[in-house]
Amino acid sequence: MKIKFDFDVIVVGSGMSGGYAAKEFCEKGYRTLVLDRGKPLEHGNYKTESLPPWEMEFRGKLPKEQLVEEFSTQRKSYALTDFTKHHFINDKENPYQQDKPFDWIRSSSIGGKSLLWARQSYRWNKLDFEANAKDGHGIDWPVRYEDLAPWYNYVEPFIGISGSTEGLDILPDGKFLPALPLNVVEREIKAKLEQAYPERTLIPARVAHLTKPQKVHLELGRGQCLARNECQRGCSWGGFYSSLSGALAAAKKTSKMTLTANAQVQEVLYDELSGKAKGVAYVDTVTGERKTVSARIIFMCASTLASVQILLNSKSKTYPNGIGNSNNVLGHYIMDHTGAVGARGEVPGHLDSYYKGRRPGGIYIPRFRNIKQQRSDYLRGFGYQGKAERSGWQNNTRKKGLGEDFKLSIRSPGGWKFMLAGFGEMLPDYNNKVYLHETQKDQWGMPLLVTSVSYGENTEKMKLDIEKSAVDMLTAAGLTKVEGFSYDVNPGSFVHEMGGACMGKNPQTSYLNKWNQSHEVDNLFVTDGAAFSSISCVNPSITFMAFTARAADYADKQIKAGKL
Amino acid sequence: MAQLSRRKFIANLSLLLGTSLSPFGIRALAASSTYLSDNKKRFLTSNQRLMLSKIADIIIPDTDTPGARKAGVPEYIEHMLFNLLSKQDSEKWLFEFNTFNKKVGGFNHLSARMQLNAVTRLDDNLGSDDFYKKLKELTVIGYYTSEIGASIELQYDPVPGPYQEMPLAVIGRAWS
Repeated sequence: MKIKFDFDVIVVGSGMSGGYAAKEFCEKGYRTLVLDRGKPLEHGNYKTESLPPWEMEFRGKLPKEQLVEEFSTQRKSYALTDFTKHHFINDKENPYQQDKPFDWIRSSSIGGKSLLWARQSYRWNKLDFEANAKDGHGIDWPVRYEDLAPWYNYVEPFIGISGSTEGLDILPDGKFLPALPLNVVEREIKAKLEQAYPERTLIPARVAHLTKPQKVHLELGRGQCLARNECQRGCSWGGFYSSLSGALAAAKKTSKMTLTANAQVQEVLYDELSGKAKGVAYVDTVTGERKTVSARIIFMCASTLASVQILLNSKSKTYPNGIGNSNNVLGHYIMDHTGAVGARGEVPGHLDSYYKGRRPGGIYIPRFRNIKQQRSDYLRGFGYQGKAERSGWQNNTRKKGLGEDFKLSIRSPGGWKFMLAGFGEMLPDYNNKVYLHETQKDQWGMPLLVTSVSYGENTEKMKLDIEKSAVDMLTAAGLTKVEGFSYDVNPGSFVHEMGGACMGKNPQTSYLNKWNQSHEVDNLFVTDGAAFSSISCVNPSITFMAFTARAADYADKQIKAGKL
Repeated sequence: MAQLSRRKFIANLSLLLGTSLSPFGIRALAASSTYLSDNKKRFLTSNQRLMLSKIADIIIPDTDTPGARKAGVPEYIEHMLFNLLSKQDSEKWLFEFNTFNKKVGGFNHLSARMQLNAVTRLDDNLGSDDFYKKLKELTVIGYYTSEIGASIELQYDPVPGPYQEMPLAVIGRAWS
């Protein structure tokens, strides 16, 4: 039987995962359609790039009414400013419902959140993939670190990650470009901290910035990061990795990619006869026109919650609750990191030292809890991000002082300060879920997503330890005015949402197999965060890409073997 | 792109963005005149504006570099108060601002010495008067995000190049 498809592959979404899927399939010679609900955005066409604050009407701030009206959720993102607002979705036009508060941070454009990320890039470790099996929470991963390691090796050189080789099991080394330097204060804190706590390490943050561009980067027009640290406005150099500067640019070079913006995919279409996905239906958000398009393979990379939303809405006779969802596990086990907790303090001395450049990453302290010994109060672990810098004028908005003395006191940089902010692992829990609203739809007819996710007791207890440990470490490192902080924030705030279409060995309890492939519909793959069965405590983006490349390789081999 | 020099890149970038790198002040002036030329955006009377301007200049005066007024801070503050804050917040601010003016018996008519004393009293109690807390905050932000404050008083480098540690003595002033 010969079927004519419009495309070989449809990739839904063009961010971290979708971009990488597009690159892989295009480079393997497949005619690939990439659909994204976002607006078109050309790499290099970043309208606020390098604008100084005085060129902006509100110097970078957003009017309160606009924040409330248009960005009621997006305003929770630290990256939302007047410089970046056009890269965030308009909440008013794109509603969702919250049974329990969940901050769903979303992009407005092609490239997705790869334009908005914090570029922190860490490999997961062996424990991460064993955790569910070990403590019984969530679904056991059908893969282990060894399965993924070669794919980290594969994606890292393309992405371009600066980092130091440390030889730590808890934070496996990768293929790195030179690390961003630690400054004098961070070196001092590192020495004191590692002396006080021999089991802990302070290392330069591993970030997707080109400290020394390689051929593969230069060929795509990417160049060295010049420390503007205004990444979320867009970077014409491609100094940091985004889907736009990286994978989509590579896919474009092959002439195999068709990239369609303003295309809100609403469902994956199921063919009852063949038992396969036959294509997708989408709405052109500008014209309102509904279209269908067919392909041999479907890759869902629309972002964790959006992929789940589309899959739940893909209803057929066989699958009334969403394609491939006979076991009703789709939408469950939604997770995000915990955080907004840590400590800060001042560092005496070093007043003759300063720096040039706005370094786009600071330090990282890898997980040190529950590795060899299990604590009694909580499961799993956390890591810290942080940095040392000198106070600037921004710290003087609430200081007393007038006139020439006040002005002169700001002319020189203030003292050194240091901060640690924890990121902790949340346990997978079946009860943390998203589902479709029964009646309410958005303006294009897509049922609204409803979130019902909350942090559990485990994260609450972990947060206490994150704060206390940070205070202890800063005190041991000789800081003064050390104070802990712990804020209550909603899940979603860390923009590391994962789960919902989890991988697992058992088709009765999981949605995807070890190849990110639907257990039931074999030409349907989900390779964004939705596929994740646990969340680790490290940032996920490079792991999204590693899984995506691995799944694309598998699909390619299956096709060539005549099995797909 | 990678082969281009930094200067050339900025030039290209400027072209791309439809802007040019102008000498200092010109754009700051352009910005403040934008605030003022649009009548709909004027909220303060000329007396109120004069008072605001004097307070801002007491907080950040002319020294070897221009102060708040020359950096367009009063226009910035007016613009922010009435376009950035909610209507309720800006009305509350204006009410308190006027109350202060009455309390000191007409700020603009005071001698320079008395004006300084009045603002010093506010600043010594920073935090207790909401209107002054906001005004101080906006003065500091407005000044150090203006072209004068950011690039003449402090240092501004749009393309600093890779992060490097350096002695403060080599760099001189704080980065904005």
